[in-house]
Amino acid sequence: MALADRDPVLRIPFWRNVKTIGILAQIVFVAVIALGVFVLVTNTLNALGRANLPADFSWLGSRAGIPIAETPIPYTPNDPYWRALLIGFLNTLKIAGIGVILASLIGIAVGVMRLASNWLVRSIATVYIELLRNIPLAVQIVFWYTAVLLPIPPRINNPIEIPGGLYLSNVGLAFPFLYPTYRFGAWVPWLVLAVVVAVVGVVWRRRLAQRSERPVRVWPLPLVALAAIAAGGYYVASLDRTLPDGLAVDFTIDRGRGVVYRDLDGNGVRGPRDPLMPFASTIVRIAEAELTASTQNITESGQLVRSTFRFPMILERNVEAAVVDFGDPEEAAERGFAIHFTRFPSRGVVYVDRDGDGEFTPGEESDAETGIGYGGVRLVMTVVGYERHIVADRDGQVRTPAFSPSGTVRSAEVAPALNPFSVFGGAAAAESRDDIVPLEADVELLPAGPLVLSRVHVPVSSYEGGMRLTVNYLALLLALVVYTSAFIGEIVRGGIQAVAKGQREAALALGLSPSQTFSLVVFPQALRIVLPPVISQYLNLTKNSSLAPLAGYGELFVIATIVQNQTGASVPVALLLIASYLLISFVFAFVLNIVNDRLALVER
Amino acid sequence: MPDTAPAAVRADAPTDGQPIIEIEGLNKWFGEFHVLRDISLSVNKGEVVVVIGPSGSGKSTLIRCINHLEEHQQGRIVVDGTELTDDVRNIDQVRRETGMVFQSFNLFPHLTVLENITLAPIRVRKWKKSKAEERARFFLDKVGIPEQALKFPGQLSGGQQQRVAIARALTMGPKVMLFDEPTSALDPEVIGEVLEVMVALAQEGMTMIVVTHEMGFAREVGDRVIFMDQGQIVEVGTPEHFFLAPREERTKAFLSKIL
Repeated sequence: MALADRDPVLRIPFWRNVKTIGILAQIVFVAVIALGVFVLVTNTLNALGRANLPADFSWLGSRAGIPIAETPIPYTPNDPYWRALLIGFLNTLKIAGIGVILASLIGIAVGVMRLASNWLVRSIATVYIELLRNIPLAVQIVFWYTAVLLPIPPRINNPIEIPGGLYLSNVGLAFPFLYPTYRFGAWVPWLVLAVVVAVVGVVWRRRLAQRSERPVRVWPLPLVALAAIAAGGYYVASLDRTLPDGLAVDFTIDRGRGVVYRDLDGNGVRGPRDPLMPFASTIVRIAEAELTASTQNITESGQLVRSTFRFPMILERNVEAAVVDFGDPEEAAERGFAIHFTRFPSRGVVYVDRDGDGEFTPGEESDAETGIGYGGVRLVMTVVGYERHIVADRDGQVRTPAFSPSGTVRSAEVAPALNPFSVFGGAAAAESRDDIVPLEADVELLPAGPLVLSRVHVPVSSYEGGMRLTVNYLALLLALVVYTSAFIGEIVRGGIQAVAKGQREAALALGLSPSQTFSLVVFPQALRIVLPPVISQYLNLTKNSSLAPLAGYGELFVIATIVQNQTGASVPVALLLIASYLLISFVFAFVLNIVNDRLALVER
Repeated sequence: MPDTAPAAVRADAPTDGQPIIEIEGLNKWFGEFHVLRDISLSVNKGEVVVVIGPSGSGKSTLIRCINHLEEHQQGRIVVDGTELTDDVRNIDQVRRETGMVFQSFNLFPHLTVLENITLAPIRVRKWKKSKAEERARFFLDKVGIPEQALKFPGQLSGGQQQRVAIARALTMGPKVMLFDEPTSALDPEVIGEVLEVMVALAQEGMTMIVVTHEMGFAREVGDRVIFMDQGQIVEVGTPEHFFLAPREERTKAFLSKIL
């Protein structure tokens, strides 16, 4: 055909045709990639197989045995690997989430300060930014951790009490916190209802405002409805006073801690399948206990001493009164037995008042040589009640004194809800784990509302209750926030300067004050400019949190490293790590891009 | 003084009126550069004063001094009985009573037209939102674009944007309007719609100081024309005076270029 002969398309050989070349190139490209992936994967699997290392994820369910200091959800070393990794993931979110908020606030402040007309303010901001963004992050983390937070705060024995129930020490910061209880679930439907009603209300009021001639206030009514439904729901959810089935208290051996768990298998013992009750499951009432400890085999005197202490239960930092019964009071008095409370909170020591002045003087320790309790009676005023010590016997034999502790909860004062996971605790470290005998106490579990305020208590050398942030967390947080805020500050400064000068002039000419001009006109426009670069700073902060090992904070990277060491599952762990960081970054980017789109200026 | 320019001309308002702006011996420097020299100018209530002059002659700086967007170093500026001093209260007072329209519109791009107009009345005059919106719609109607209230500035043409800017300034209820080359950034075909609004405003008796090269506008509603050059007022007169018999050589040279 003459037409076809003249049609150039038909006469092009396929290797010169742009379209076929394109398709062929794609096929070759995909094939090369697939081959590369295949070679890598088979190679890795073979190598792992030869080294007898796991290449799958079956190890995720085995017992991890990794102690983690900071656990946002209940966790014990008996929990499986996946839970340990989940804790790490949550800890990463905890540092990234709080870090991003703080870095933004400080960054905005510093960025605005850099443009201040006041020379001093401007210079401080300049020095802040230039100093902090030019020092490597790793150096800053080590600085905050080893040079500031470890040495400067007071020891945990004597923490600073900040008004509002906060405590700061070299162990970290602890502050009161609201925790959801087992009853929180009953409140959730009400919260959902409240939010739905409020949203519907806002939409309705908006429509009304558009149609109505008269002014309509959009926000007050829906917000009142929100608060009313939420409060009413809280009340209703609190009415049901039943406790969940199978609730029981378990005293762990180490550190004399109690936890509330659900005894699903009904065997009365917390097994691996019995879940810890998340958060402050309930209010635990333990008030005043009478602990009876009787000692036999007192080496020096051979006398039977029975000591009975009555004191406010745990968490009382200063024991004010103790009734000490040494069995035969007259003989005890004759021999000068007395009890002395050391400077440490709620710790008592029995001594022999050799000089008869009624006070404890150095040298009167019941065992002057070892400094440990006379006849093994050195007392710690906690729920565990006392610390038992191995007594160095005169004949050189080491044996455990025969304590027969028993404790009863007698009166019913309400102890505040404690640490979300430990009901009570706080025994000082014992010399060996077996040394501490779990207390037998009648513990009454009381129903709680959907939320419970957990206050901080400081028994011996640890915080109980509230929300606790370790120095490791604080050091990493400070370094990340300060470092990132310097970059955000520069971005904010640039954004403000990028807003046309006429905008400011127009606002001033209308009579707006300089601060109104900034907050209503300049800043909203600067925000649009700075958001994309600030988002990448947020992602940087999140990724930089993997420098956590420098501060010893147990986030995802740290825990994954331990898991990989223990299981040898290097490839699966690496894949999980990659997936986790990608997930966080994608979610960040996704959410912030939506915000960015919504803020974008409307153009034609 | 190294300045070689001839002595400045006073631009006093007719004595039969009630002066609302009084500028006496105004001097301003940008660093070493003497941008305004011995400006003395007064404007009566209801007067329309057109300021012309080559670029760099200080005419924009002059009207920007009147609402203290620029700070002056010497002389007095009194607007509606309030002298511009370093007192923030005086500056706020003057800015409340003067509206300004800029060459580049300077609408707030993140706010709708209505929000642009009601922002200052709500925040500065403490009007209720309903009252502010009612007044805003009144002035939008007046500048002829009531249907654009809910659009964003980026969706409007230049002429429409400038009319919004005029409505924005008017809604504050100013006693004086300052126009800083309001039509210079506009396409030729939309200049007319902005000038129409300004003419109507002038005919309603608004006190206006207009920096512009639109001599048609000056002839139609201008009470006085001021020619500035090198930071000085060179010649003052009625529009007719300028068109028919300009006195100074500099004025003649300038007018021959723009007419």
